[in-house]
Amino acid sequence: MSSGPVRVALLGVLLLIVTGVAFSLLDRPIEQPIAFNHRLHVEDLGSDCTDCHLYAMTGVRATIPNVEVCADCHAEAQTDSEEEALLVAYIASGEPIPWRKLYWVPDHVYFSHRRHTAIGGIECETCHGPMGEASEPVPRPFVKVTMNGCMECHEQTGTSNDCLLCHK
Amino acid sequence: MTRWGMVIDLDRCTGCGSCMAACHQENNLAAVGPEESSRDRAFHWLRVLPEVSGSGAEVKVRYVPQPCVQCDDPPCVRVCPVHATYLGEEGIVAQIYSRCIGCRYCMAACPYNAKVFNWYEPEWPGDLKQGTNPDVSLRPKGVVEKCTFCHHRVVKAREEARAAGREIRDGDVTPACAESCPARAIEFGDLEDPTSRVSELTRSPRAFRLHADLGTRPKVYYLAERD
Repeated sequence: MSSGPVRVALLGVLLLIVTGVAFSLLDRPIEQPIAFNHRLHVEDLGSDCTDCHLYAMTGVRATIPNVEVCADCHAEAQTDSEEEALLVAYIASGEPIPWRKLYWVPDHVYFSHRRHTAIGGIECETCHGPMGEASEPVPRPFVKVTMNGCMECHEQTGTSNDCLLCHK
Repeated sequence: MTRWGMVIDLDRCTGCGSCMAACHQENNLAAVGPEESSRDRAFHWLRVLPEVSGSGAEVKVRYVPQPCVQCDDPPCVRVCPVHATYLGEEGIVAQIYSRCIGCRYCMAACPYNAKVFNWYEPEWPGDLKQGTNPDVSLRPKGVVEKCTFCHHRVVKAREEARAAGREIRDGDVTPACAESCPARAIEFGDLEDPTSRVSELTRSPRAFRLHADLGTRPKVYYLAERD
């Protein structure tokens, strides 16, 4: 039977390990099925965010493009890139690409892209960071979405912070 | 600023219950069976209450649809220890579910029994979850819920109005209950606008409010039946 202080120390170490594991599970990098190159599309080819995220100016959700959107340009391979070959295979199979979301809000929050972009005149980069400059998938969001962040921006822009405007 | 209100014409209400059904569907309310109902866990944000008077051949029944009456001086707000319920800028008494701790003080304080406690996990059998309204949250078990005059429709209508380059105005919003009423017994609109239909109806000699003597100043008005 171990003595009191040893037991406390062991419990402390156990707690540290559990906390560490929990944090590492929560903060796991996000991996995408295809290494999409935002920089190539935005900076080099001059695409606009809304060319692929079709509803960023007009809808509640900006939407992540799926094969139908990609097929507009990639029904046949444009390059000999291995990543594009993956995309062409998805398009040929008609299977949805299992993209993983980087930015999301909880179920009790109503966030409309349109009222921030088209109506509020906010640039995509304000909330999404320099996504257009990323040449490979970003493992974590550039900007952490927090209620404090939303409220600070609302305060600076003179927008109401009435809970009902965003909470549902 | 807009101040939302409702007028319910008791002469028109037939007690059909379509407002209750529409409210359930619109606001993702749990459907409760007879067993849970018998344990006083029935779950409605809007109730159609029958009032029976007289007897025998003289019996008379009237139906009173009762949502949250959205008091201007809401007793529920005063007792909430965590500011989960408050009077919003446009007169809607809000319930912020992510703040609510489920203490139910507000339920005890409400003289209209307008608030309900959610005894249920947000679970739907099979694919029925796909039919829930994405504009209304699926509340967790253990929070207090209430009618919000379908405020998500207000939010959407304001967005539509701003996209069209104007502010929201009377007539832009219709809550689910009013929309579904086949007898058009429920009117909804801006009480601040003296020319609105609801303002006009509140000036009717038939207009009254529930428990007006309590000083809660509800924004739901009723029109009494004509003789």
